[in-house]
Amino acid sequence: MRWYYVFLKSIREQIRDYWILVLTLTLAPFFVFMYYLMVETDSREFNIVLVNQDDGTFFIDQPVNLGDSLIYYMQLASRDEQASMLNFNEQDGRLAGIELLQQGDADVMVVIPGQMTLKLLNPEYEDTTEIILELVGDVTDMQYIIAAVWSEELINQFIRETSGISMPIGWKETTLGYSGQRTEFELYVPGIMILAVIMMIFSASAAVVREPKARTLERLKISNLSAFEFLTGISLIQVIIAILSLLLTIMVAVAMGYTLLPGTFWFILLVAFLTSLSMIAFSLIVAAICRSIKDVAIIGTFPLFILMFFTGAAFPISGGKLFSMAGTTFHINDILSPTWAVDALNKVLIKGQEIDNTLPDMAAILVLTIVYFIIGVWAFKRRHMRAA
Amino acid sequence: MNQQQNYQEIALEIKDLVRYYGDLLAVDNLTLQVKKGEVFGFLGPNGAGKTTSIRMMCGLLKPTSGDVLINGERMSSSGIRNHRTRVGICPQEIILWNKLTCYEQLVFMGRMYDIPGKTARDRADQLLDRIGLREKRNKLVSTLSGGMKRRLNVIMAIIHDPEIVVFDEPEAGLDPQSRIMVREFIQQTSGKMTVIFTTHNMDEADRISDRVAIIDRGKLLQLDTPENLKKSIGKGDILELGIQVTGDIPLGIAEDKLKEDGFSLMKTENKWIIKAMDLVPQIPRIYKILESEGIQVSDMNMRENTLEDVFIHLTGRRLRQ
Repeated sequence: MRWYYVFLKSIREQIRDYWILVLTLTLAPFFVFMYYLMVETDSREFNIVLVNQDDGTFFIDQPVNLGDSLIYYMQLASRDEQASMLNFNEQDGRLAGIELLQQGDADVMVVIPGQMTLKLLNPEYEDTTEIILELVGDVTDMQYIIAAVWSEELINQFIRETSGISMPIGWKETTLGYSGQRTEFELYVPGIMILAVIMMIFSASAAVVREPKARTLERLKISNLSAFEFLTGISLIQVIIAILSLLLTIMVAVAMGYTLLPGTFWFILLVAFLTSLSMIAFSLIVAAICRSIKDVAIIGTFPLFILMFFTGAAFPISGGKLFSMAGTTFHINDILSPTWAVDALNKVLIKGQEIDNTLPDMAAILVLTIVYFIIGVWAFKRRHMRAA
Repeated sequence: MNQQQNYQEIALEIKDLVRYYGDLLAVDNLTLQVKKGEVFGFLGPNGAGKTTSIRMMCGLLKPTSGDVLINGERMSSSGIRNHRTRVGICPQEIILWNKLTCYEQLVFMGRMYDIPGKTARDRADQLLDRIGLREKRNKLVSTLSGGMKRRLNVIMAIIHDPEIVVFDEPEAGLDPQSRIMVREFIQQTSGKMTVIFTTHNMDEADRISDRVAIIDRGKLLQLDTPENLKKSIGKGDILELGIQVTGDIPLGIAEDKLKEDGFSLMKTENKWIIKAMDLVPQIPRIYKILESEGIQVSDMNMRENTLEDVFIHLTGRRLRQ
């Protein structure tokens, strides 16, 4: 029962040294709120500049300009709910459009070529080259990509409707798992749940470092307390902190509109529990590097960022391929247990897979936890126990 | 049989204990025995090897060679694990949990030694009472003064009622009131427990030790009762003279003259320590010798032998040099 008294002591210390506890408990819920503000409150709009250089022509003695018709068609389409996020802005010249793009007031510019009407209405026109509509914009910008795709789609619809040509193929979209029912915000939530567990790296490292820093480890070393009992007592409170942080994160996510699928709560808790064990083991490695709680706050930030941004917890990441074996591709970030935890949650909460399918992920978390523990205990003993 | 009887009287024995830190020899072939129930003082200057020695005795530090025996059992073969409940240590530094109250940490430490809950709680209250910290029972350690922390540090060593308790510089950094409390506490503790303590304070060693080991540069120089140690350098008065020398006056002539007249002379930086029987009537003669050689006396102090004199006699240096 000595572990139990270490556990009680750690609870008292955590509560009385509350700043790290507050940081650990609130950062992930704050991230949920921040993602909500970033993704859901952003009224997604796409500004499209239209430049009509079409000269038009006379058709059956009537002046015709299909460029003008296209612009009218697109502006009319934007009144539909489906395309309501598109804003069209007609400019007289190309230079004026480019200026708007450079100022960030437009996402894409569509330039309608000079002889479009002539070529479309007069098949015997001497210039037989195809009609090229030009898209101008920053091709690395996601706003450009979406605006360009929408522009292309509307132009194709216009051509089909005015020419009477029907497409020989159609499209049907089938959503995988729950991805179709999820908002963009909800897609980030499983990762942030793991972030809630990752955050305990601060409180766990601080709890471990506190003892050698105050040299109280010497007192414990000459008592009957074993290293296993010491680690059990300290770990238990950290697991509770991780679970509390997770629950707060889920509560904030649900308040922001996240739908917790029935029957997944205990699965989330299981993944969080396993991940918290591996984070405790990881904290031992951090604690071995640090000599004080101040060190934890400074040095601990580095592994925290790696675990946050390189595991898919903060946002999806591929991780960089290492090698393939038995049909499985291994990535660099597979050596980090939260990668597997995020993968397990995404499989069930987004892709709609059975919990059984996450067994390899769970096994990977367990194996990595053991590896971290071996390295952590070795490094901690080498750094702190020898000195004691 | 004799050896067995001997072990019944000996609480702790160290044999040929050696400890190196790199090339530095911190403890050099230390051999001694501590009897059950006695107060045993380690007297020596800073860096003499006292703390290193007691850390090895407690199993906190591995000796380079040599043995530590507790109740006749070798620690090197069994490690500290088998002796944990028998030994209590009060380190020189304050080692406490800042975010626990005085009472909480005493009870916690008691539980770490498997003391039943009620016993640990009762004992914590008794000890807080004895060391004058009852009013601070429920205060966080971080709110205590330095002296109070030191007192708490002292009682943490005996919460589990060990057979041997080791205090490393227990009076260091204490205010006069706390010093008296700690001294009384150690004296009350002796008899029930074997007390080993280190100090560079000769007065502390003289007042509370049954026996004193004088240690310097890792070596045991002398081990006996304070009385016997003082007797060992001879009975008599000690005259301490602060001297002032103007110009290039050779001191050797005055030294030789004093020695020829039968005075025992020791020199430290700017003090001459003169020892002789019935010294008072001889002071004018000493002054005359010094004046004749152009040496002026800036101050004078006469007293009885102390353990410091023993140390100076053994090493030629003061304890605090």
